[in-house]
Amino acid sequence: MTTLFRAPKCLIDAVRDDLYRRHRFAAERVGFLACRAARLANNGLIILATEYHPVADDDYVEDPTVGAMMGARAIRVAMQLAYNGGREDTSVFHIHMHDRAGYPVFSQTDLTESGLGRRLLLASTWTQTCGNQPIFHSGCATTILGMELMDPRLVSQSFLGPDSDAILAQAEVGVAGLCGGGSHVVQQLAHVGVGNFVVVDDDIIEEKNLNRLVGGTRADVDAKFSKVSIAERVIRSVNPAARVIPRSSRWQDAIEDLRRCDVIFGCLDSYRERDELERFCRRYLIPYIDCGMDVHGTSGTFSISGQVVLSSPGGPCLWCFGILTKGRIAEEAGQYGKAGSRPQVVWSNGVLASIAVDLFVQLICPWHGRAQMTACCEFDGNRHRIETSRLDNLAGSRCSHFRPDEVGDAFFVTSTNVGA
Amino acid sequence: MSSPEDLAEIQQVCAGAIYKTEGGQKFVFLPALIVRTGDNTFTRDALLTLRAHSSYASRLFLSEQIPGRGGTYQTHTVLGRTWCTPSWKNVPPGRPIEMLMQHLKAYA
Repeated sequence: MTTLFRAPKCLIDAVRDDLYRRHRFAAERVGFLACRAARLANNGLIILATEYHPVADDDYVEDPTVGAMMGARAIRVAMQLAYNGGREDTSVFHIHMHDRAGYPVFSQTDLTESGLGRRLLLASTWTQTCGNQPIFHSGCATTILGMELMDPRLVSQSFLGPDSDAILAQAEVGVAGLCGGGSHVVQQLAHVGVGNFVVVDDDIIEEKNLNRLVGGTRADVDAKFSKVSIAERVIRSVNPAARVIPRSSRWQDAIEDLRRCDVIFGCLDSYRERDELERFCRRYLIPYIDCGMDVHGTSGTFSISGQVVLSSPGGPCLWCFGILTKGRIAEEAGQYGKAGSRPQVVWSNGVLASIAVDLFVQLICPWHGRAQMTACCEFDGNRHRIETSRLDNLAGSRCSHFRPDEVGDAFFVTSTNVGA
Repeated sequence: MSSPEDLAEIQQVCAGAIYKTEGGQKFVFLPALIVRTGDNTFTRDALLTLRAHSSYASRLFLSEQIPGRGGTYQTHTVLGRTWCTPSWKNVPPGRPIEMLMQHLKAYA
């Protein structure tokens, strides 16, 4: 059974800040994470952390044989948290730190007392290797241990960290929309070393796409190839070992696969779809990277613009940044069904895709300190500039549109098979 | 427009009706709603938006299409679940029970 764990960065920061505090006699601190859940296919589960509850100073018991021992009251508090959740998918996990380098591993005490998979473990250096980002596969430590040599294909990017090839190989990335923007993104992710893809688009390549669809050929047009087939071919030509799930459908019909992804790129044409995809990502605590490009104006006075937004749970969303507005969605709805395609060009798509992949890589393999969880980069294709003023204006602010408790399956059904 | 009284009223039609929210949007979830179309009866989970959604004054999402009814359907992902909905316009926000009845006319 696949089990994934996700938490917003702001929550992980709070956990770390608390667990690093000294206690008057315990060698380490412990706490509890209250979580919700979402279903994956094949009876898998995503655990979604929503709140952190530290163990009170007075609830530690002196015990020289372990780093920290909780008293009965701490356990009762945790049980009450689970009860107060009031939903069938509420769960509470015990959490503590392992102050060591590399991938997190379970200690002998963890394994003896709880068993692998029942306890979450947060390695302090997880931040350095994974940018504190919410990818946490249970059991990942056991699958990665022993991997000492970097993939020779990725030696030139070893500055991303000693485990970066393994982190990238384990990552599962969704890309919705595979034309000008998405095809660029997919190609770069394959080169970077991402090992698992869910690529989604319901369209076939047409002649008018050849000006920008990376990897698309004249023969593909003649053969009426699907855009997902082309994306899969591009990925496999770089990395034959990659696991690619091609979904030739609308992304709304691929949510079972997308729900599992660690990061999702949205390269969609409409504001309405971008809004829905971001909502989907927020619900499952998935960082969402949104790419949009447009050409405005009339003959002789055209301007190219675009933006890439990294929208992470808890941080500003597309609505906060003003990328989505009711007016834009209404205007778009008024255009529905009108003939003609929107102008798009490969070079601007390429700039935006490169920024998007940059944001992804720094998110999971940060090479310059702590990962940036939120970004809004606006591209002015006429002046060849990238501005970040929208983010600067929102510096440090939280999202006012999405509530922290609106996570997990809204219609969660308890299965008697879970955990079997 | 989203009071306990409104909910109690719509629960007369669908016993399991509950409010749900997502990103500032409020909905009524209607599990196993009975949809009558002339001689046939269908059971669908449904989601009623209480305000404008996707440029419609309100919408009623269904878990599956109603065969032969509703015309052209669109798919939307809301509350982590994919729904379908016909192009049925001009049901303004109001009492949820009245909105539901107006939307169900699309299948009559």
